[in-house]
Amino acid sequence: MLKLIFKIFLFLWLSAVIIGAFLYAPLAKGLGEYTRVLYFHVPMAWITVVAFLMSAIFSIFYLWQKNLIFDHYAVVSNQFGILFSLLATITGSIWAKVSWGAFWNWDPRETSIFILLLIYLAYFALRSAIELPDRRAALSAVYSLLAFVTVPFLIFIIPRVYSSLHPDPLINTEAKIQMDGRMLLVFMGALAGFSAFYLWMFTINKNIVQLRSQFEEKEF
Amino acid sequence: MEPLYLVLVINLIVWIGIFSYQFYLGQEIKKLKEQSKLTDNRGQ
Amino acid sequence: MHKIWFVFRKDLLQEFNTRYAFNSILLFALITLTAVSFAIGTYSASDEVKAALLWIILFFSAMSGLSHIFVKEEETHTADTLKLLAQPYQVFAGKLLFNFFLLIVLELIIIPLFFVLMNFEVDSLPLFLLILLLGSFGLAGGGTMVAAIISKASAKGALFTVLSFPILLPVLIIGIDATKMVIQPENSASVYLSLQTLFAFGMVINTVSFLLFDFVWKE
Repeated sequence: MLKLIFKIFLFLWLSAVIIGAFLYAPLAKGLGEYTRVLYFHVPMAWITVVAFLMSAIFSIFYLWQKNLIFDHYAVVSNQFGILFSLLATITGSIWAKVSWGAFWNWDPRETSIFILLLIYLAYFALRSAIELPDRRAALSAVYSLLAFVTVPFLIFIIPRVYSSLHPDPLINTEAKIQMDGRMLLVFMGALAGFSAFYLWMFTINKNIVQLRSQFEEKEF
Repeated sequence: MEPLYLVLVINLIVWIGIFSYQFYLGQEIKKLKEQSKLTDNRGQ
Repeated sequence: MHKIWFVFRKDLLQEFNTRYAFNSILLFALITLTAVSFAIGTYSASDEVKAALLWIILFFSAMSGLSHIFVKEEETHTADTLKLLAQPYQVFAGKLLFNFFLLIVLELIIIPLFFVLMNFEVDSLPLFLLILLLGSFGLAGGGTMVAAIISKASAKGALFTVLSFPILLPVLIIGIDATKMVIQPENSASVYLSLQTLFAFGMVINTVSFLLFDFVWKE
């Protein structure tokens, strides 16, 4: 019952965020109508990072406890990572087209999301090349962790060494979008709402994976 | 209709679609879980 | 320390007999260098293009040979013997040393040729060599670890480049940029930031590889 209330609440919450993003929030100074994509682009990028972090944590758990279920969880979060990094790339690229003039110009931030996508794809390429489940789990967990330590270099260091046009509170403080109270409200609401939605998606897939491994056990 | 409202409506429709699919999936999983519990009990 | 040296010397002796990895790396580098030099000509390329070409040649030649170090152990089924003889970290250190050595030898041959063929000039040679050294350190660390991973998988050759590329791309990007700065004298001050980043990357990737190598080696 509580779960049902939570789901309905989430539905209303994100509907309010979508309507708020279009009608309630004012536009940022000096930027056009396209700033509205902010409320969708940033949560997607945020979830990409969360998914990547979760897959690294599950990889550590796998290497620690050697329980295959953690490997399945890591795969699920990596799949979501691919999905959301694609969404972040597409929304970001559209935004870049209208504000910088080109869909793709190898801005450091674009480079780093592209590399993140490559890492996710390489992870699945590695998995498809190994037959034994235990070995596949261990090796892909190691690769996932190895990739995890190189990502901070891409996300934090390279954009600092090379100038970026991407507005960001951490890296490019000058180009930060000045948000007034109403914008900030919708923005935080979107961040929270999409995170909760991601957690729900993750739980469903986690249950699917659990059920699948239960059925597999029964067959043998 | 103004383009802004058009985009808003499309957005909302997409969101409702995603949500209902997700909701449906959640219910199905719940059913399957209960079923697997039942078969487990029968087996013991 | 003794065992690390032992693993390194064993690989060196084997390599001396077969020259498999060395030949493939060197010939790959030579062929790409010739192709590039032939296609672009000596005078037409700008400094930026030359810096990028140098690193691309080094990077992909490294990709063509660094995986051999672990793949050969699996192919000749000598990995189990090595497991008995040395601790995992000693094996890894020995192999890392060998790959690093391989890259240095490659650079000793390729860099003078690049200078000659591409009419390449740098402002400060010591800084340039330091960039190459730190870059090779990172490349060798990441390459050795990925080699250990793919030696346990099927479809080894193609997979090595696919897996190494995203992990080692920071070396490539920072290396190219630092080399550009070394070519043009007015930028030499900001090259130290790139050097620091390269060094930090090498340290991080090598430390993590040492920590994780146990799990791969025991599989």
